[in-house]
Amino acid sequence: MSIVFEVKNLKKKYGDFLAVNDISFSIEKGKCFGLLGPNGAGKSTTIECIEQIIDYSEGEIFFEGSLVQEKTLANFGIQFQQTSLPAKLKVKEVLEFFSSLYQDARDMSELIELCHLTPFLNQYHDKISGGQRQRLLLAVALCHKPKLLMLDEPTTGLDPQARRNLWELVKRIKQEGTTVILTTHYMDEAFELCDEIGIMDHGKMIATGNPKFLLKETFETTVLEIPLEVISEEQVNSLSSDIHIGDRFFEVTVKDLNAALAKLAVLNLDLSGINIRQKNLEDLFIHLTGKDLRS
Amino acid sequence: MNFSFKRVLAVIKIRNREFYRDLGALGWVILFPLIMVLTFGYIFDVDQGEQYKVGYWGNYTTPEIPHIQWVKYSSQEEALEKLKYQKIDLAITVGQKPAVLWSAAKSPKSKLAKEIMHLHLLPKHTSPFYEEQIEGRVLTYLDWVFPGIVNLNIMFMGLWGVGWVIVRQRKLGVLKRFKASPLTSFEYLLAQMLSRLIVMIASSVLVYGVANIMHPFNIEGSYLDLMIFFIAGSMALSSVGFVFAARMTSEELCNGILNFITYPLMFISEIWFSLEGSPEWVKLIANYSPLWQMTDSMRKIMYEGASLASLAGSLIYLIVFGFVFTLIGSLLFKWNKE
Repeated sequence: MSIVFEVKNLKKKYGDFLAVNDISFSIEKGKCFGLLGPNGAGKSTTIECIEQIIDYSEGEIFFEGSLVQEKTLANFGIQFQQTSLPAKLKVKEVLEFFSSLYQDARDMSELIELCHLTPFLNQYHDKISGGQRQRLLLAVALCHKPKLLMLDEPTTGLDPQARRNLWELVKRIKQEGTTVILTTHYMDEAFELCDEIGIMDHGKMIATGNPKFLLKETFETTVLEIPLEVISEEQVNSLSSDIHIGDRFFEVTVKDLNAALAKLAVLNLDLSGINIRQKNLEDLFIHLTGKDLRS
Repeated sequence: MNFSFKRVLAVIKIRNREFYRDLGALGWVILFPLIMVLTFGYIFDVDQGEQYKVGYWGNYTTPEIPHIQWVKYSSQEEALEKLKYQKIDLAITVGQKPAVLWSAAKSPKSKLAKEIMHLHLLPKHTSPFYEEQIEGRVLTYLDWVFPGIVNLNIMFMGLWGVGWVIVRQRKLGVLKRFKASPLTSFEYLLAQMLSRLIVMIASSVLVYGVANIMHPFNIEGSYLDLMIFFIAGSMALSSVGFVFAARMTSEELCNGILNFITYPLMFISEIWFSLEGSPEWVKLIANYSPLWQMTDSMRKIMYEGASLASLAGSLIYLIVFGFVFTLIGSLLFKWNKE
């Protein structure tokens, strides 16, 4: 696959504050790149620099081998994290309006079907649910068939079902061959949708790569979550030296899962409440930055 | 990005939809001038305590007379011209005997002013006034104030309906969404101005129609000339909104600044009261006000039958004013609140 989009040494300064600090990454055609990080990490600023909503201070952005210019932007579609639509319009009118701004707009009925807008097409856009609103904003971003779609925290604040619906939608868009940049602070979302991720903190890119590869590269361990009331601290210390005491569980990180389970069997405990999980992106983020992802 | 009238039309369409679906705003735009016309028109027409303006020329030590305000002119012709169109209520020639008191033939205010003058001055003169009348139409306060109220409404619609709306859209992030589309700032601003112009014309025609039923206006000039001034003035007033909305992100600050602009403009632009007799510097400032240029020209067309050619200076001023302020607004314009 060929590189379709590339950011080189991007910086964005607000006075002395570096909101984006010398980041670089590239994306292959038709892939989804996830920008992960806590609030204030610089994800949205990066997206807005790419779309040229704000001017960046230094760096270069390339699309299909050429520097991004005003005419290139016609290939980009964006769903902002914080935005509003023109007031007092119905969903259908919003789509008609944004479609009329483009010379080569996507067929309306195709867009309505793709984003499942039919049930609320004639409702005012400020009267629809959060999930419906995100689907509408996605439709607005897609109304000119962009080659690169940027989604800035599209599922923040949505209930689990609405999040899953949107994930399915993003997967369909990917299947159409659209390249996607997704910012999120939900690790499960990144794991589900992204082929590559970049983890940002304090404006810097601190790790990039395939999520599974990154986890494997960083961790060769498994986590045992044992309810606090089941096991004593003395017993848990016999399993591993890497123990974290949570609200309800001892989180025991072990390199040899079989050996740890054998020891637990010997202790003759009620093991019906224990969880065994692999390290995930949340753990990776804590490992890399020393803090919780949503702190 | 090439200019696209299709995009301009699209923005006009959604802006107009937003306006007519906001029943509060729609009602206010029509009701405000009607309420003003009814209230001020009728209150001031029956007001007994107002001042009467008497014009004079030459060297004359004006006596203090209750309810009389003296206004000095450079020549008899100038004073009589003002009397003809009832910008003053009387004119007096004092350099000859007997003094000549000029009144407007059909004006009730002129008659009242003459009575006051007789009451206070007659005993001191050895010979009675020689009285002259000049012909003019009866111009009530409602006639006079109506164009001012309509234009005041236009100013409010231009500044708040264009300027404040842009600031609100920037604050909410609507403009950020627009920036991520092919819409250019010029197309956006042009659409804002044109959509407001449609509303201004429609609401003013409606207000004129309703007011004309209650109080028939006898328009002496051309309706076309009136419309030309209306459009030029509306665009000039809207362009002021562009400049102040170019970068602002706070609706509160915008409100404060717009109030700061509109109040002085309202008072120096002869909306409620004639500036005859005001200090020269006030009249000089008024000349620079697009609201005054628009209102004064429309009054001249409506009640003096003035032609477009005779008002060319004012028309050019309004067009240049609108162009320059729109240009400044476009150059300063920012989509987002960076």
